[in-house]
Amino acid sequence: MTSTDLAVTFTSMASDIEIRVIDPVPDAEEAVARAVAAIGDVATHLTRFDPSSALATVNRAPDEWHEVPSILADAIGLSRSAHRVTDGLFDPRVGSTLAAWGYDRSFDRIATETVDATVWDIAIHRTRRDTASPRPTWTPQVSGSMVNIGGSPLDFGGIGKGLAVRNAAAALAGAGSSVLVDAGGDEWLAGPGPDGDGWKVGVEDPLGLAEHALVLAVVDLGVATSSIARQRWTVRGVPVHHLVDPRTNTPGGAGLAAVTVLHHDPAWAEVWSKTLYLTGRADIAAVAAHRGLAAAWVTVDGDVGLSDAIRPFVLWQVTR
Amino acid sequence: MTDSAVAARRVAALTLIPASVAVFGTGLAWATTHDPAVASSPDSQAATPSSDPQLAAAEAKLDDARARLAELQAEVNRRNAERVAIQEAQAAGTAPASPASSPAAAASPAAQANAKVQTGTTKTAAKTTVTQPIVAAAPAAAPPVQTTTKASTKK
Repeated sequence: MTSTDLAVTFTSMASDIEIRVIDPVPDAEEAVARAVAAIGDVATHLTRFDPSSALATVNRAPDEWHEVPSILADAIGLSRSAHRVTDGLFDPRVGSTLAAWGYDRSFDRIATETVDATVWDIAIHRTRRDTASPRPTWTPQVSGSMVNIGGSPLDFGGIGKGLAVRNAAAALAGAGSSVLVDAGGDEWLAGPGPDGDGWKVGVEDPLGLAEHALVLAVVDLGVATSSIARQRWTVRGVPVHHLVDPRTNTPGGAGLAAVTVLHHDPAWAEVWSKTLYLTGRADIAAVAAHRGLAAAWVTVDGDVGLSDAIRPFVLWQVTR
Repeated sequence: MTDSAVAARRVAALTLIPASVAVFGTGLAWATTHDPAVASSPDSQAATPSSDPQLAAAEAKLDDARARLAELQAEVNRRNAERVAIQEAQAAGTAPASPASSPAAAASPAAQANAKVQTGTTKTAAKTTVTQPIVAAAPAAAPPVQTTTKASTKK
């Protein structure tokens, strides 16, 4: 990075955020300020851990109509589209399952706070007993700023970051020759990057055997990774993670450790990375090919898979 | 021409013969002592140390070159010994397989670049009499990145 480039780092949405502008235009700082505000908007209204947030308010009365900030209406509308397009694999209602497993607070508190193990034990086994009864189709209603989420509490932990990156990217359009927005792994990479031949994006090795599983060269694309490298815990000895399969209400993505997707919309990159993860190892290649998605995945054995659409972006791939 | 004139010319010619021999011999002796090849040969140098500063510097360089040559020869001998040891180990089945032989390595563009380098190295080694020890090729390192997409860093 040169001394004239703009770079801002901060913490929001319980994640490390980075904004970088290469060759900034004179009013780039204002654009960065708008991007920071857009991310803050998501953090303020879409968290389910703050009882005063708009989402928490709606979740407490999920059968009723609510007037909500536009970012929450956008999140519900986007999630409804994603739910439909992914045939129900993307489902923000899994937040209730996560809460039943103890993920009803910021993730670091799961490991540090004393919890009622009996409640967890009951919750995990009740959830597993319900595997034969998948949730019905989700049909929330959105009319301007008025929403009705259809009776079930929602979690926007993943898609919220995708929306934050999307809105920050819009705020930064034209701010420089190249722009990077990184929200805890969900990213937007505009322009040719600092070296002029694409942003060099490392894909984390979820198994920790190497620093990166892949290195991609990216221009004007969003990238998102769904991974169980970090958000894993146990409930009375039962290993669980945060990527819940709504068809079974159990930890999803059998055989997969991580999935990365490139998409022109960072919000949809997040939707598809999660959806492909839940597809599981056996079917991910076929589904990615059918959807024409630029996707890469790492199995729990460390094998790296690539869809045809992502191969042109691969600069380097780890060898095991 | 009279007889006396002819006799005088014969005397003069006979006188010039030893003089020419003397001149030739002197020139030959001078040329021998100033022959660069003779001067640079180890034997002559060892036998006739010079007080010429330039020549002394050249002699010092020559000493250094001799020492380096001895080092290189020792290195060649050491590597040959290593090669023999590795071949013996491979024959016993204890040597690790080369990473470049795995299908995954061959599929990687970076690994393909590595394979090209290795091929070139092998050809070069075949042309020379100095054999190189067999070293397992390391996988190509990841290029530097400007950002990393990863699992959520939620705190």
